Amino acid sequence: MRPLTAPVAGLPESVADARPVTVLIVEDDPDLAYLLGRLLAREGFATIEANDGKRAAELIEQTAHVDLALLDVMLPYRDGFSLIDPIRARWPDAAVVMLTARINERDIVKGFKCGVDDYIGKPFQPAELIARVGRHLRKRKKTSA
Amino acid sequence: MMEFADSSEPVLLFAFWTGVAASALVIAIAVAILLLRYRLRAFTRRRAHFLAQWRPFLAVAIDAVPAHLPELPDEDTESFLILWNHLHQSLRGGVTENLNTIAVRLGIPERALEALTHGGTRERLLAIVTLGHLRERRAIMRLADLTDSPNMTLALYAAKALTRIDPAEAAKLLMPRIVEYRDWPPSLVSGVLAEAGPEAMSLALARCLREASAAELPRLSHLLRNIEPVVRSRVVRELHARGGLDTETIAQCLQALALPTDAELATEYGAHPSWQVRVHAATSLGRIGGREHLDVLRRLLTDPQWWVRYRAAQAIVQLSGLTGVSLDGFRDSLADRYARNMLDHVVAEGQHA
Amino acid sequence: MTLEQFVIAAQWIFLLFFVALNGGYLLLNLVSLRSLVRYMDVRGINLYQDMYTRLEPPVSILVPAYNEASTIAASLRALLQLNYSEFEIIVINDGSKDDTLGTLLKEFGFEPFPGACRVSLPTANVRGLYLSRHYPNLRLVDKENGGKADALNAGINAARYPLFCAVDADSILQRDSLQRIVKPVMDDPSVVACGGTIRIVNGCQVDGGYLVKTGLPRSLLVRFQLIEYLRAFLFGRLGWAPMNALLIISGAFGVFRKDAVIDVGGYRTDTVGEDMELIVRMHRLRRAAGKPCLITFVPDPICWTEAPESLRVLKTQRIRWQRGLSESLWMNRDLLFHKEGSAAGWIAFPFMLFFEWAAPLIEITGYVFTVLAYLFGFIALEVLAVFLFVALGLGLLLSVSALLLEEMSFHVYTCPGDTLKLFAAAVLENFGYRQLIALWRLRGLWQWFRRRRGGWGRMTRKGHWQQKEGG
Repeated sequence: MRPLTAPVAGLPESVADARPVTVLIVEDDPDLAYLLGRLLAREGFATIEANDGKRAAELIEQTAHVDLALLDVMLPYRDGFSLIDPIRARWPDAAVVMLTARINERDIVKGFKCGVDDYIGKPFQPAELIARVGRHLRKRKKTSA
Repeated sequence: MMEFADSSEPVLLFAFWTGVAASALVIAIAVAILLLRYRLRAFTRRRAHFLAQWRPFLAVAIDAVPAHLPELPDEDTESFLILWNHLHQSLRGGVTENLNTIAVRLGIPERALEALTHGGTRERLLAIVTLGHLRERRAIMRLADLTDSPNMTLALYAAKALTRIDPAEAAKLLMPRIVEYRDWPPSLVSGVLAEAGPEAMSLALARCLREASAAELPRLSHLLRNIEPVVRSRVVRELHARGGLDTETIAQCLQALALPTDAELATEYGAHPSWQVRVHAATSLGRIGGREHLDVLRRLLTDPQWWVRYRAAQAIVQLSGLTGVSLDGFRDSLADRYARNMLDHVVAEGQHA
Repeated sequence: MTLEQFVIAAQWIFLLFFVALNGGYLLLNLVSLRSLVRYMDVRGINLYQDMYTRLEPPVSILVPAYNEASTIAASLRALLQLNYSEFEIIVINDGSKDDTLGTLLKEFGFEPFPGACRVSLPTANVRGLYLSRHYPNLRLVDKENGGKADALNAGINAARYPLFCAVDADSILQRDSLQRIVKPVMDDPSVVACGGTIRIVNGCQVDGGYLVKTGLPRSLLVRFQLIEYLRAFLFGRLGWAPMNALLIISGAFGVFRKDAVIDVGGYRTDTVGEDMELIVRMHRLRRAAGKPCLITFVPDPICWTEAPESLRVLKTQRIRWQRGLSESLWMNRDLLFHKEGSAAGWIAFPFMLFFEWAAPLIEITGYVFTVLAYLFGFIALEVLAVFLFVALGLGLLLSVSALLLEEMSFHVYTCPGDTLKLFAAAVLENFGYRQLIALWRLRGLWQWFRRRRGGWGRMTRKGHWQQKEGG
């Protein structure tokens, strides 16, 4: 985890001396997981990663604070949807963004019912992903500030 | 004691030498296994080493291609292409252009073109997909040749790459082959054509279907879904006017209906002798029908075939949502017990979803 | 004929049979080698997603369950995790005596469902249909006991999609198993059935219903079975597939075209080998009617099951397998040398008949004869030694060739010592295990023969839940 060392565009000033903005990445594809980690780190976010549902559940328990969870749907051990409740329970203010190749009607409705904030389909545009993640984090900061 | 068989008996000799041959082969195979295992370990180590270097590199490089790229030895080409194609498939937008830039600077197009001509199946497949992503025009001729390959997998991946590189050219090249090569599964062909989008393919496909013989129609009618809706509707009406269509073609036509003005066609097929056709008629009406079609669906709800009743019930539920017709009222108006049961079943399914 | 001539003739017969038996399997391994090399050539370059992902046809997964209260929830949860675009799971409770039904109702929030079900195949009475509140693609059929075949037929009745996948409740799959087994159907829509290879899970680490890490079974008995699987079941089947002469698809994991199965009458409930019998019958009936009968196979290790760890359970299993084989072949004997039979009727069926069905009889007779002849002094010790040498050599050759094929393909056991241990098991197997298996198979043959004479009519319908026999 790398703490924030410089103000990031779009985030309120007060964040700069508060705890770092942390994103939880749960993705089982190693190439994508690495890529997402680098993309977000480049934006100045701290990231923690899990490659499967079980490890993700552990991280959820162990980590003090997470601002946004970026979840894949298809994961080993437990699917992404099953992680939403634990995440909400642990960090009520966190945003949840699902990243998935399977965008079908049923999953989308199920996701929104479970409290998902956004869906990003694969294949995805990295710039768009960063923009959406940024937007959700800004919204969160505004409401909690 | 009599000893009937001594060591010079042919049966014994045969047995003995068979045993010796078997033992020799066993030893040879054991050695081969050890060698294979050794080779596997070397390969795994190399692949891991490659990923440790290139995965981080590409993750950064796709944002901004650096001036200096590491060397890519020939032995690592395959590992690179697997990673590169995977990223290409998982990402879209400007980064894919960067991926292509990196590939060009590493000399990948040349390596891939070489593999197309001189490689084995594995190298060729990777090369085909790579050249498709690269939109490498130099590969068009060779890819066109490959679509004639007796290996269906090679042919279809080549077709897909062609569609990526030049949709118009691909449409022209692929149509005659789609008609001729019966072993190309219609669903995969549809997937290949979908890559180009309906605009590029619609007119070529429409012409293809118009000229198709009765024997070819059942298979080719699967491609209706790749035609843009307005053209599609026209083609379906022409086929309908032709008459004498087989059930498979009619089923595909019904599934392809997308415009509300075509709902009349679906109602016509609601009384078709084949239940497979009636099923699709019911489904179509649910998709494109209106209030005026509820009567037809009511009739289909009492069809002797279970699947027809099921789809008719689903269609009714869909339409009631759209037209505001009360489902309860509709249900009460049904005289047939099975029809009522079916409607209840479908409503319950819908509530669970 | 003098006694001497008789003894020598008998020796020739047994020797030639032995060579033919092992030679036949060796030939199958050679044929499967070619298929395997081509298959492995394009596997692992990760191009499935590019072509197939959005085109996967929907599949109904059928899970017949009998007395599975302790494990059914975990199995279903694992199945729900399969990486596949659209599928439904239908679990059929075949009148379990334990709390399978209660467990299911509780764990998945099943609610009764005004089920309108299309009955294409006759089954025992269905007591109720349920739909899961939490998982809209999970359904439950509760019925009276009728046996596994009957449960599968009930599942077929309830299945919604044109393809169904029969899975044993205790099969352990991988997340891409369904993708892999359906791919041949996507490549050729005229395929009516596709099977997968079954691997032995003993010694492996399983977590959340999925295989986490492979490992060699610790028990020698299970290692023998592993070698046997590799030798006869695994690559042998891959050898039959290119000829379209595959006569068995394991009930533990296989995908079928629903209408093709309904067409031939569904699973037979009066046989213990319902999985093999269905396939042989499809060949017989479809070919006789002039319809194509493409049945194929994927060699990937996509399904893992537990092998018997005790001699008692193993014995029951092998006796039952031989009975099942006999019943499947006998019930479909018309396929043998049928004019439309093609490779299935002219090569595979006779092969099965001679080298699987009759083999235990000939093998045991051969052993007994040779040993007796030695004891009575008709043959010298060195003769006995040479025969044993040949038996060992050929048997070992077959096992090792299977190990080679495994090494060339999936090499699931990656620890360096494992290959050596497997090799040792392949050697030791010939000193007792094979003979014991042959004896039990002979017993299975005998049981089948007696029952057949006893008349089918008197067979009462019991739940044929093989995996429950012997505990």
